[in-house]
Amino acid sequence: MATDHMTPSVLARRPPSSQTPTLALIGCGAFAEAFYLPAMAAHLPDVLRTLILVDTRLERARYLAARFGAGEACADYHDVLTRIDGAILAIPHAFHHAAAVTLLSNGVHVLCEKPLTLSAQDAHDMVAAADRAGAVLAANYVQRLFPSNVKVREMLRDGALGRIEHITYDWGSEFTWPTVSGFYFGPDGRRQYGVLADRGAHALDLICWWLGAKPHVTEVRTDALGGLDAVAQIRLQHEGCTIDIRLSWLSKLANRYTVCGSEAEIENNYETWDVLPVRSRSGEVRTLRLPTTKRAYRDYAVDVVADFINAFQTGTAPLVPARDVVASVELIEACYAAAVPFDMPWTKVESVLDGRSQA
Amino acid sequence: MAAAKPDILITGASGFIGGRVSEVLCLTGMATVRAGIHRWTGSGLARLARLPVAIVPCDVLDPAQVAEALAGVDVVIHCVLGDYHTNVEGTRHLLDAARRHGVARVVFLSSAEVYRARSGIVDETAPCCPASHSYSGSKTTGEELCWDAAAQGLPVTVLRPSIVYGPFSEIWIVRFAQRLLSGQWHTFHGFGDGICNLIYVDDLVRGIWLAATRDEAIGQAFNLNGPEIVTWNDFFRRFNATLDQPPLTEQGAASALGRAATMEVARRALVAVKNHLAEPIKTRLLGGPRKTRLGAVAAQAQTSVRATPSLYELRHLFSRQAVFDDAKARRMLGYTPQYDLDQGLALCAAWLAHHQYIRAFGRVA
Repeated sequence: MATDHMTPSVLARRPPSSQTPTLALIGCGAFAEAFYLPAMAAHLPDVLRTLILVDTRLERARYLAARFGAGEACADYHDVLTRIDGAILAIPHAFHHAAAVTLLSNGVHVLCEKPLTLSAQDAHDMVAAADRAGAVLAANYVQRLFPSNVKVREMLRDGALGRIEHITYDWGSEFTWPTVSGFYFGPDGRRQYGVLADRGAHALDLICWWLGAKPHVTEVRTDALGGLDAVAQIRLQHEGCTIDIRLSWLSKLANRYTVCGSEAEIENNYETWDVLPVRSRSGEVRTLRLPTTKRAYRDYAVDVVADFINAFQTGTAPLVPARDVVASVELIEACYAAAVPFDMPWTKVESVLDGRSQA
Repeated sequence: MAAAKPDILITGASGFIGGRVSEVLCLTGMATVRAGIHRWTGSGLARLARLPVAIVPCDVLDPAQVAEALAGVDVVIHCVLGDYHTNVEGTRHLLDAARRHGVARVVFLSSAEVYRARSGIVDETAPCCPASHSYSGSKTTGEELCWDAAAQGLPVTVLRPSIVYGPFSEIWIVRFAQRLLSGQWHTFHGFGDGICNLIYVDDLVRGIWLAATRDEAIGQAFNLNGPEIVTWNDFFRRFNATLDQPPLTEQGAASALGRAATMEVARRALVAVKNHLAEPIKTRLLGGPRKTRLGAVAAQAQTSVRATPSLYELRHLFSRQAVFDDAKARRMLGYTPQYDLDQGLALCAAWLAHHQYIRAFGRVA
């Protein structure tokens, strides 16, 4: 599985004789600008030189192409379907399914941003389309690449913590993502997928991956008031293990996860990927060191892209096949279906205007 | 106002007050809301997006965007809070566009700070401070622009709320909760007996609605205040009790002034670091999510600075004896504030707990 040594090894695994692939980066929003393009500029200049940037706002695509030195820019990926080997989908979540199915059906390999889709049926469709075409469908769930998360999975698989009884995962901070298009919040008022689909995609995928199973939903509360959720509290159950997840776009939370077993427990900051403190039942704390050169989230981008290219050039499985994250897409869908409102007396409006109350 | 269910543009809708105005008008179904924002990011935007409300770009410094956001609306509630330029030029753009589009009513959120009053019962006949680059001066200028627009036929109402508190208030709730939960906050002998003039945000929303819908409001300015006259020390004690903290001790005047003066130096140093050091240098010196030793010291200093009143607060804000009289709004608009301090603070404490501010500050389980 992924380790810090992946970057050189993944790059080295690319056959020296292989041609530089032609990729399209579809969607030129903030994520493309902050994550993919700087990594390609620094580590994959040959890929960048032939990269086609695609965005319905052609000016934006042209601007980024000029700034980073990408090969060309265009407004519609249909225009380049026959010229590309692979595509990175960094468009709004709601468009992943349609674009991926079109690309895959035309034999184009796809690396899709998280969340893979917003519905389980769409996720299954995408995987089936990849299978039919014999194409790679990879997903960027970058937290699976963190050495600390890899280690947690290994320890759970090996029973190093004993019987797992409780997992918590808190991730909250003010929403400061510099979204270019505002797609998260859509101007038309028909929005319904918030922090649970966004940060929950990572959190719920990690839980499924760590446990090697999909827990069932016990209780979900959100603060949606007819729009999307900005705070969500999720309780899941898997055999004897209770999982509590708290997500927020509105305030800073503890930003830690705990994995408590009958023999030992782990407590770590969710973005601390180079150490893993393990406390035994006797109270002794052993800190596992996980050497890494990664300093920031974006440092993982080169691994993600290089692994994707390697997968379709060598026929090996990508680090995160889309098939593997379908369980978490199903879980998110189940969470939304089960969601009920928090008790939030400060949001009551009935008496404020002496007018009509919320239906 | 003609429309039974008016189309209302709320500027600054991702802010503390604009957010609650949007929430109430949307969820009561009393208006069709356009929530105007100036950028597609921020927790205020995430808060707003919880509603089934139309969010529209409305950077008040961009006249074209303002005109587009405002086309076809009946009422504009102008809640933008920014720097001097934003407050003044943004208001100018908004009023110009409102006049051109024949908007039926503009409600301008000014502030009781326009009086810069130190004492006495202050009603709407009191003089406003001169226009200047200060916050209060920018509000005075905004009001002058409103009266100019009114003279050209635009139906405008100016509201001068006192200190508005409630959930999502960073200044009066989050910051004071941090201070109280730090265990380093006090009541202040000789400084904390000034009048606080707190108004719960929902009472302000009620006042805004009355100003937007009552014909008597046109061309008028109104003070809006809460139902109780409390001192700052009262506020500290009652908020502290609501947060279930040990009773506050009183700090003597000399001690309070001495500590404030010392912390003023640290405050200025921290501001200088924040404003003048380049990000990469700051990160190298102080660390990122994981702090360097110097970063840990700076964070500790920041906590101490936050938990200490500034000299301005002691000498001016907490000592001010002025009461902003809202009798005119009560008489002409039927405004009656509903939330006493304990009711308002109880809602704030519940909100703080929901967002885990209380646990995050480490003083309450």
